[in-house]
Amino acid sequence: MGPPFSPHSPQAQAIAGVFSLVLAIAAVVFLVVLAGVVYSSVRYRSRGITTTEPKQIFGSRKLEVLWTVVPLLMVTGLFIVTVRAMIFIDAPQETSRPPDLVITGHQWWWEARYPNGVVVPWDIHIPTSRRLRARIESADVIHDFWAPELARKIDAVPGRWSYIWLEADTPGSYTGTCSEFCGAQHAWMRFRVIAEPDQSFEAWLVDEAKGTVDKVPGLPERLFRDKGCSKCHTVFATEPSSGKGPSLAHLASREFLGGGISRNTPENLMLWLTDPQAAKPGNRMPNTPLTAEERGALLMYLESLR
Amino acid sequence: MTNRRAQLGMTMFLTAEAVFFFLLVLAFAYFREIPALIAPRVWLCTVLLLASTLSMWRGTAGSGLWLWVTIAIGVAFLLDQAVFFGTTFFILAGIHGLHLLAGLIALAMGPISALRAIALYWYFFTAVWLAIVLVAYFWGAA
Amino acid sequence: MTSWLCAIDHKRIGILYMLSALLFFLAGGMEAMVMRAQLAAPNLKLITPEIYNQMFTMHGTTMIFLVAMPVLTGFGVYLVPLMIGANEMALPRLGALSFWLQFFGGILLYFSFATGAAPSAGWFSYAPLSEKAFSPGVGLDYWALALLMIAAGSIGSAINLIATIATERAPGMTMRLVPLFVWMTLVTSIMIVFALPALAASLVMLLSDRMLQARFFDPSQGGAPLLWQHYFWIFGHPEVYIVVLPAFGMISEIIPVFSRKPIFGYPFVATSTVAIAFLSYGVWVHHMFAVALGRNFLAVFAAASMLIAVPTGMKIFSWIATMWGGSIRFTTAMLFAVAFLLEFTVGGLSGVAFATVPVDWQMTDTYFVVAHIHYVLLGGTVFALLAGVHYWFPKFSGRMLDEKLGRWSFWLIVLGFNTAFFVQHFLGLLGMTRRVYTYPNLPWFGALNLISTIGAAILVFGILLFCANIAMSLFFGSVAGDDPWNAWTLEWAASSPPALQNFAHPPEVRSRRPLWDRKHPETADWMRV
Repeated sequence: MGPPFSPHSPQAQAIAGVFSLVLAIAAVVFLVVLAGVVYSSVRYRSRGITTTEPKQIFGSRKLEVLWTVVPLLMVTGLFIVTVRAMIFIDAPQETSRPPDLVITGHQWWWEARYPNGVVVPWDIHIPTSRRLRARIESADVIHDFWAPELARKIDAVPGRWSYIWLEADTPGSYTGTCSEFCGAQHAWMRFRVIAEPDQSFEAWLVDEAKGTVDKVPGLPERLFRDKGCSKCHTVFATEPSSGKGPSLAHLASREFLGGGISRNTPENLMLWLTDPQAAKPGNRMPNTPLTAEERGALLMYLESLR
Repeated sequence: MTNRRAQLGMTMFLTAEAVFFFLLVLAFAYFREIPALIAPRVWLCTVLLLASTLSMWRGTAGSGLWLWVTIAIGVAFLLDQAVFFGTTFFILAGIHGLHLLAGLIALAMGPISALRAIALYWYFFTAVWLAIVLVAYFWGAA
Repeated sequence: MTSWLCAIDHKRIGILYMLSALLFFLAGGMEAMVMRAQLAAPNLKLITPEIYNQMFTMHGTTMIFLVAMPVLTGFGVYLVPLMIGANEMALPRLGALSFWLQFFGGILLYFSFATGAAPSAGWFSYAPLSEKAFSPGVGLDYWALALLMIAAGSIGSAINLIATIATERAPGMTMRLVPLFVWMTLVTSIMIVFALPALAASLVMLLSDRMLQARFFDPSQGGAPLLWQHYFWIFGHPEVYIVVLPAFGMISEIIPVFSRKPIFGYPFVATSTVAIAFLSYGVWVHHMFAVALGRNFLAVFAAASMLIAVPTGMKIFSWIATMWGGSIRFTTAMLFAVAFLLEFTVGGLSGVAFATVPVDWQMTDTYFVVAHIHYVLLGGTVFALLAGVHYWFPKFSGRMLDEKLGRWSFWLIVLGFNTAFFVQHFLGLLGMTRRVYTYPNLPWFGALNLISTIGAAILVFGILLFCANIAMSLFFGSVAGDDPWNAWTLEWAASSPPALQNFAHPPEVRSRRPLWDRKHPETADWMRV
C-alpha cells in the first residue's frame, strides 16, 4: 500500500494508524452515499410516460438534524485522534538545545551536517539505537524533507529552522525525496536515510571524517583546483560546504548521481564533465571547457575518492 | 432606482478595496516599511485631503464649483506626494495616489448621476490615507 | 460580429464568458495532455524540465482563473436575471468591462509563451522561488499582471451580480424564495469581494519585490516567504469554494426537475452555504500543515477544516433525498448530476483525509493531492457544468442537444476521468510527489502513470464528443420550445432563446417554484401550510 503503510519508526507508525482510521471512515461514508444514489436511481426510476407527479416532499427536520449531528460527531472523534497523534509525532521546536543533525536543502541536493563537522550529501546515516532531533533548513528556496517510512514531511523554509524526530527501528536504507516544488530539478532531489546499528554508525562517522583520497599523481588534484571545480565542490567531508554544489567526498562509493537521476557509473560521471546540462538539465554547474585528456584525468581523480 | 444600484455597487467595490488596503498596510507595517510620518509635510497632505472631503460634500449638495475645488485640492495632494519618492513606502502611497487619480478623473468626466457614488469613493480614500497616517504614527519605523 | 464585441446585454455577455472559457479549457487541456504524455513512462524526454514546469503552472492558472471562474460567472450572468424575473443586470456596462478584463488578462498571460518564458513556479508561485533571484525571466511578471487584470474583472462581475440580486428581483420574490442557483451565486459573489483582494495584495507585493526592489518575501533581506503563503491562501481557500458553490447551485436546480420533486430541505441547503462561506475564511493554514507553525496553531485550522465538511456533506444527503421517492428521468443532464454526487463525495472524503494533520504530513504535495483536487474540481465543478450545459443549452440556443451523443460522451468522460485520476491516489501512496517532470522506474510507478495517461486520453475524447454535440446541435438540433424539461423556475417562462427583453411583464412570484404554481394551480407551493 506504499511507504506510509510500511512504517519503520514510532512516528510513522502513529501516522499509519490514523491514516488507516481515516480510510476506513471514508470507505464507510462513500458506501453509504453510493447505496443511497444507486438505490434511489434504480427504485425510483420513471418507467414509461407518466403524467402524475410523485408526492412533493419539501424536507424533514428530523433527517436534517440527523445528518448534521452524526457527521459532526464523527469529525469530533477524528479531531481528537488527530490532536493526540500530533502531540506524539511532533518534535519540540525549541532552539536552545542543539540538534543531533542538521539537514539542509539546496537547489537541487540535500546534505546532512553531523556534530563532528562531517558534511554528507544524499545518503544520511543514522543509528538505530536512538531517535535524533534533526533540524531542517534551506539554503535558497522552500524545499520539503520527506522520508515516508520514517517521518512526517517537513518544509525547509529559508530563514527558519524546523525540527523533526528522525529514527528507524530496523537497519536498512529508506528512500526519501524533496516534496515541495523548488524549481527546475525538483524531481531529482532524492535521498536515502541509511540506518545502521550503533557501532557501524560510529565507525562510518569516523571513516567519513578521514580524507580517503588514494595515492594518485598530483596533476588531477591540481586540475580540480585550477579548472574551478573546488570553488563549488569539496572533496573532504569535514570541509565546510560552499553551498554552491554538493560535496564530492567519497563520491566513488555512492550508488547514485545527481539526486537519483543516474547510477554512479564511469560513463554517467563522465557526462557531468562533458555536458552537465545533459546530465541534469537546468542545474547550475557551468560547462567548463576541458580537453579529452583533462576530462580523463579528472574522472580518474573522482573515481579515486572512495 | 439607478442611484441605489450605483450606491450598492460602489459599496461592494469599496469593501473589496478595504480588504486590499488592510492586507497591504498590515504587511507594510509588519516590515516597518512605513516611516514614522511625523514631518509637517504629512500634516499638510492630511489637511489638504480633509479639505477636499469638505469641498466634495459641498459639491454633492449641488454646487458644481465646489467639485472643481475638490479636483484642484486633489491634484495638489498628489503633487505633494512626490516628497516620498524613492522609499518603499512610495509603493503604498503610490497605489493610494493612483486610486485618487482615478477618482479625480471620474469626478471631472463622469455623469452627474454617478456623483454620489464618486463622493463615497472619495471619502473612502481619505479614510485610507488617515488609516495609513495613524498606522505610521503608532507603528512607523523611526 | 461588432454587436458581440460591443454587447452589454447579459445574455450576450454570458455566452461570451462561456466561449472564452471553452477556448481556455482547450488550451489548459492541451497543457495537461503534454504533461500526461511526458509522464506516461519513467525517464521520458519528450519535453525539457523547464517546459514541463511551465505546463503545470499554466494548466493550473488557466483552469482556475480562465475556465472555472469565468464559465461559472457566465452561467450566473446569463441565468440570474432570468431566474429572478428581471430584464437586465443592475450594472450592464460594468458587466461588459468585467468580461473583457478577464479575457484580455488571459491573452496577456498566454502572451508570455511568445516571449519564450511562460511562468513556471506553479499556479500558487511560492516565494522565494517566485523572486527575481530564482525566477529571473519575465514569465512571473506576466503571470502577476495578468492575474491582477483577471482579479479586477472577477470582482467587477461579482459586484454586478450582488447588485442585480439585491435590486432587480421580480415583485414577490423575497430572498427566501430565490432559486438555489441564485442564492449560491450571491454567496459566491460576496466571497469574491472578500477573497480576491487578498490575491491582489499578494500580487502587488510580489511585483514590488520583483520590480521595485522591495523585500517582502526575500529572507536574505529580512522578508518572510511564509507571508506569501498566508496571504495567498487567505485568498486561495475561499477561492476553491468560489468555484464549487455555483456548481452546487446548478445541481440543486437539475436534480429536482429530473426527479420531479422539489429540492429536499431548501432552508438547510441555503443556510449550510452561508456556513461554508464563513468557515472558508478560517481554514487556509491547512495548505501549510507541512510547515512547522506550531501544534496548537495547526490544530485550530484542522478543527475548522474538518468542521467545514459537515455543511458540505449535508448537501449530498439533501440531493439524494430529493431523488428518493421521485420519478427519475435519466437525461444526459441528470446522468452528469448523479455522477457528480459520487465523484464529489470521493473528492470531499480525500479532503477530510488532508484535514487530518498526520495524514497531511505524509500525503501533502503528492499525487494524492492531485487526485483530490481533480475529484472535486473535475468530478465536482466540471461534471456539474456538463450537467448544466445539457440542461440549459436548449434555453440558450433554442435547440436540444442530441441525447444519444450525450450518453456516449457521458460514459467516455466518466470512464476516462476515473481511470485517469483514481490511480493517482495510489501513486501518492507509493510516494510520487507532485510537480515532477519525470520519476524513477520504481515498482508500479510506470504502470499506474501509463494507466493515468490512457485515462486522460479517453477523457479528452469524451470532451471532444461533447463539443461535437454542441456544434452539431446548434445547427441541426431539434427545436426546444420554451420549457422542454417541464421545469419550475422563471427562466423557463421566457422564450428559447429569450428575447432581448426577457419578460414582457414582471412575472408573478408567490413561491420558490413559480411555474409549478402556474401548472398546478390546485396544489401550488404557496398553498402549503
